[in-house]
Amino acid sequence: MNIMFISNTGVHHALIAANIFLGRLHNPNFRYIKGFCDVAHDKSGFPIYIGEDNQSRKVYTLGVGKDVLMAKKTLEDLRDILGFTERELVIEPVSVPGESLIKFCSRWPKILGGAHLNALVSTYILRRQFHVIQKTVEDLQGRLKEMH
Amino acid sequence: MGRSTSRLAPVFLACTTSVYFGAKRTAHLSIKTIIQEDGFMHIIYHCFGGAHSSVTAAALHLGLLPKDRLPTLEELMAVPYFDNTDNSDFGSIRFMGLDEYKNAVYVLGKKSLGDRFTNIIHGTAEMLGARHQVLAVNTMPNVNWLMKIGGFISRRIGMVFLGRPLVGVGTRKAFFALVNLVEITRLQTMDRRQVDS
Repeated sequence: MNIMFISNTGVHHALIAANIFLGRLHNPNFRYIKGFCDVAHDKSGFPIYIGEDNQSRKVYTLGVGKDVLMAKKTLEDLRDILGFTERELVIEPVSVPGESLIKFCSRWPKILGGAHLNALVSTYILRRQFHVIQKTVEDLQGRLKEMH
Repeated sequence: MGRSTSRLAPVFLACTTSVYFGAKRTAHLSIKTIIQEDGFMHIIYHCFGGAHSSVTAAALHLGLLPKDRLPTLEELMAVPYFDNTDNSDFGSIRFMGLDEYKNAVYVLGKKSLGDRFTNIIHGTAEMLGARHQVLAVNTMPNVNWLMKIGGFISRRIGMVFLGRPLVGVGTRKAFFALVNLVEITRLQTMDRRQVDS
């Protein structure tokens, strides 16, 4: 099974959600999360592989721009067209208040301190919204249990 | 990881399409299942709204429009979904038909996601182990200002009487570029079929 966390970027709250899901993150300390705020990772549009849990479920993140629900609809349509179901691919949107500001800061030019600003603002917002992301992951885990 | 489909395994699609009799649009019908044989591809033409350039390209691919001359506005309007979408259609992969090689052709409106969306689709298909089954084609590079302005007036503002003729003129201007894009896409699908076999 594949699980894909989607949000406006694939290297901020989606990445945190993926790490919570994999049991690697229990408190809002994002310093050691590999790839956090690394927008270069997110540019291509390909899903980013994060890891695999103890039930062999592969976890990915994907940045899909501002219309996350539209992208979810497209990806679910694509999954259905290819003959797969939710048992093979679960698409979970992750949304937090202030995500537009995160996206804005992640686009700030590097030469004007973009990387620093991005890390600073994202960490500040996501620390305060950590419980929202945790709740999203818990809801997903509940749904996955029901599915099996 | 995703399953690998066996030879002639049916892939079930659940998609919605419209039935057209001549140039007149009639009721929407839901096609529950289409049996797609293994080895054939899903070709997705995508643009901003999924109403003009992608629909024209898909129609060209399916032979619904002539390739050797400019279509009339009536012929364009007779194409399913042409200038006939609303906000709920954004993000929906809509089935247009099967081509002569039994490849399924779809259209998609992806708003301002740009060429990144091609990678999103290809990447997701890759994750499912079905990369060889999908070809996403961005038609936005062939969209001109007339199409953009006409599309905005017709679809966003809702002034169809003003926007539609503009879109028609714009589509005719971009027509042979779209023909070229479709021919390249068809060659790509044939290439892949040869590689797969």
